[in-house]
Amino acid sequence: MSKVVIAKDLYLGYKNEIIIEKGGFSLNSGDFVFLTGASGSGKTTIIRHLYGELRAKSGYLNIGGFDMIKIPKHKLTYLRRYIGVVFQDYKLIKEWNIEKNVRLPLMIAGIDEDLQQKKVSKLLSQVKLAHRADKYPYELSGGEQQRAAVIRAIINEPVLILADEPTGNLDDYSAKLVMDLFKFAHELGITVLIATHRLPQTFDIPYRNIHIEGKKIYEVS
Amino acid sequence: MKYLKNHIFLIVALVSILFSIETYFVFNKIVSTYEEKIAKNYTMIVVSKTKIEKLDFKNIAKIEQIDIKNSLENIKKQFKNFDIDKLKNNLPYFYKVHFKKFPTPIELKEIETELLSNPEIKKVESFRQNQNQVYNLLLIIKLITTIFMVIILFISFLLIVKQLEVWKFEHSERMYIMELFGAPFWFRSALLLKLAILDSMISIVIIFGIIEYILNSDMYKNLLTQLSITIDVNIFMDLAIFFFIALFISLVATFIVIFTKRDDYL
Repeated sequence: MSKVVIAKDLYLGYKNEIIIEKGGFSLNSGDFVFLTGASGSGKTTIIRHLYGELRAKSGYLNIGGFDMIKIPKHKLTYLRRYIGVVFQDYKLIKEWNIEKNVRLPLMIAGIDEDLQQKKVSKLLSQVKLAHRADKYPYELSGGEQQRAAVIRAIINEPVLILADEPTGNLDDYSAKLVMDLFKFAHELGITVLIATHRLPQTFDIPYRNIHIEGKKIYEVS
Repeated sequence: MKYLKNHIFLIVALVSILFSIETYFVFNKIVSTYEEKIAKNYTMIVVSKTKIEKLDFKNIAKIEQIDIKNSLENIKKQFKNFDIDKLKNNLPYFYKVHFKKFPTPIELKEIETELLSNPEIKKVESFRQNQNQVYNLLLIIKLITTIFMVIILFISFLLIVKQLEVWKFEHSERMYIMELFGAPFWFRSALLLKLAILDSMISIVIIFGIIEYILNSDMYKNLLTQLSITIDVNIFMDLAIFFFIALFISLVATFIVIFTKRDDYL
């Protein structure tokens, strides 16, 4: 099984503050991983380093064969086409409708427009958002926006999906629909890493749990 | 309406910059054409005890000796017993001094003083008061136009800075999200670049209307008639130059927005 993420002796943080000390973990292709820890423990910090928004202070972080500490800007741009990101606050483009928001990764990849349309229609129907395709984000509920955001992360079938507290703002019903989408991504063979402050009560697929406590990273299960 | 609200500062700034540049150039052209015209008609009279071969001033085009033969003939006719030959021997030499470019009042005064410092030169007549009134007025207008241009450029710069703030607020989030999904530079910037080109084109259309209105106005035509000059304004050439200036300014503004992230996305 190939490694999608390899992290060794990582020191992560901001300016003068160290959040993670000597952290190490790895993600295999097709893994489903929950990254847990208390608020402020460093879950978001890890996620931000994984999609290259922040650079590690020291150590080794390799994603898809790219050294994330030394990666040049143009290679990071390229790598990000293979990483889907989901945020607690959805980060949909507010002046675009849902259909166009979902289509974004396909547009960036330069996929044929007809194929884009087919993929978008199929996925929006799957999550019962087809009738909301021409609506703008502010016209949708939080749950609907988050489903659109997850679809956007999945649509280009990336290698890795990083989700930062994706259900933190949602009710149980919406949270379940969103988690079902991550399971669907897992079925497609995508590696999924979800940062959350609490593990789901029941989860019907095998998963790993990486936990952060006291600036250290532990593999719990 | 939303587009106008978000772009009005840049469009107003571009129109102001272009208008002030055009005003500056048109006035420069009017003044220099008028200078050429009056320089052709203007001469300074110099009276010297000895013959003058040349005067060492760079603005002087030529020195022409005034032939006083006709004046002496007239005197002879009026005063039959007058000894013209004696008068002729005692008369100084009279010269007309032609200039390449009409001298400014300061230059004129300097030349006059310099000439009079030569003991051989007895008198210099510059006809300063008669010649300079219109010219002085034009020089004042030219100075005001230059000051006006500097002020407009400064205010326009502030407007552009204000516009950048609005654009940063409006476009940063979209570009950030695109960047998260690996959008290349051209993809992230496409909308802003399109808007920059559109803003430049809108400014050019507005400035074309303003310049056409002014060039065809009675006030402008009367001014040229009063000065007895004609000015060739190649409006299409000016507009082409202005388009590049406007495009340059709006592209610089756009790239500042593209390359500077809002603090909350750092």
